[in-house]
Amino acid sequence: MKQESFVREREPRWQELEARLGGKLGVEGAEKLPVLLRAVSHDLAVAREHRFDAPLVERLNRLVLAAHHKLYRAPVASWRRWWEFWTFDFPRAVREEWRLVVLSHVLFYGSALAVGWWLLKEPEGIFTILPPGHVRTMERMYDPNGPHFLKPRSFDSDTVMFGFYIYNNISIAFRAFASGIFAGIGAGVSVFYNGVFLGAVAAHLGRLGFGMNLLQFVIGHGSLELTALVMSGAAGMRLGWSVVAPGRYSRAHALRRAARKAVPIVYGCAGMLLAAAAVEAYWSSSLFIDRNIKLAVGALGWLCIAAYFLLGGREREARAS
Amino acid sequence: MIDTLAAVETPEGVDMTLRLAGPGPRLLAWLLDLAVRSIIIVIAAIPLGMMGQAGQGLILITIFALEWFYPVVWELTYKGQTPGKVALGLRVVRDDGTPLDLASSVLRNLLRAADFLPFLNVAALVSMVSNRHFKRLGDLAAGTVVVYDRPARERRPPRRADPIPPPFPLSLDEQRALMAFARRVGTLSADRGHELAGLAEPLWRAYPQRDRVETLLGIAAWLEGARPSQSMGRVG
Repeated sequence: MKQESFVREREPRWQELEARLGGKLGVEGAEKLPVLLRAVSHDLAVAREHRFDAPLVERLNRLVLAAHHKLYRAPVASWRRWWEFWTFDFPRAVREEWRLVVLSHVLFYGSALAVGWWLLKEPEGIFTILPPGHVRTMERMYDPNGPHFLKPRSFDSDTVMFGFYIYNNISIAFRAFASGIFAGIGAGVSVFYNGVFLGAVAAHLGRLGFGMNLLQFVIGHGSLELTALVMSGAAGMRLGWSVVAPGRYSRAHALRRAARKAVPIVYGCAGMLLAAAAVEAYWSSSLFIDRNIKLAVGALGWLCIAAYFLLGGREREARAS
Repeated sequence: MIDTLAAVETPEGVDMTLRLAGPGPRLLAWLLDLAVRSIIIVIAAIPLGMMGQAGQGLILITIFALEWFYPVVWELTYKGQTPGKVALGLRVVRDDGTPLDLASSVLRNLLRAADFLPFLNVAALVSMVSNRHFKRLGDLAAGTVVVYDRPARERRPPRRADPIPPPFPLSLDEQRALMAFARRVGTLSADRGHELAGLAEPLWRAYPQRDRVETLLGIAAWLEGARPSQSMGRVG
């Protein structure tokens, strides 16, 4: 076949495909696009095999690429998907990774308990963990007789804190996830470090007798915030572990699979941290809510979170299997 | 790797060729996006700064959103491109050449935090030069590649010479290399052309009385179908 006659014969269908690529497809376009794409794909193969001019091959390649891009695309997000995500995908994805989720919890609360126990024996140790200035601010904040303890704050200053919690906490969770790709070490260190911090603060304030004040502040948003941080660490470890032990896949393939499995956990944790930021800014620090109500609601929150991850989506899971 | 092309087989059974983008243009695109992001923050901070404390909270939320979701929003609404990528003519697609989906875009952009480590995108650079498709860590996890969106520069027509037959059968890649040489030789200095032609020693050895470059151009012309004028009628 000569290039000239080839171009003369096929040019109309190339132009038709070109014309269909701009703008909306419509019903007729949706029917025609696959047919045209198949035909032009064939033309590209012919042009390559006959070693026609490079610009012609390039043009056909671009045409096939553009049409392929138009025909094959990801499903569009919908409210229904959103609902399914929270009632099914998210808790199920967490349960599927239960080993790493448990490991991450052990790392977090284990380090917190260990540091707490150590500080109760050696109170001066707090200064090796936190700078002295930080310790003093913290003491003032939770001292019931001090000037800073739960001062009535305006809605405005609550909003500053809301913004700060989003900016700070969700970024920490995202970074813990991302740095997990290095054999899980980054995620592990992040979870461990945050556990140490929590243990140090709790032990120090507990020793001074301000423990109740800390508890009533933390218990409300803690179920969301701490759990989400620990689980995004677990998602990061999932990435790293897939590279360390890819099983029967290549490392690259194992990493891609692990990432797909980790992604719902990361979405879910971001959502939980967003909710936690609102609770922390507007509820936990509120002066107008009685301490016992905060404790009761906070404890209920922990129960709900546990029930959600243990039971959420089970019914559908059973139906599917 | 001889070139920066990647072939992707489509369900139609044909190979599409993607032209992969290397670290240089991608770093430039990243810097441009960094500048755009900073400008957005400054512009947003002016009205928010006048709103008192609540405004401060909103500024923090804006910074957070831009840091993590600026590329995601652009890539999903603008066919795999951010403003920086538009300027450099780049586009993100999935490994199989299809458009990005939410999970791919979120993954590759969250992992920027890992790619940035230990400082200034060093992990990304190391990852890019150690795999065939210039993938940074985020691309590896998400299964995406960054490709050139614009057509390759118009190639000039090949320099013509009297066609001569190749002294022995050539593989497809060798034929392509010769034809590419015929198109490029006009842009090179005579010395460089001579030097490059030197690589194809077995070919010009076969025609000792001819100039190296002219020999290769002659073979290239033959491969493209030209024949010496007296025998024009015989080939088909």
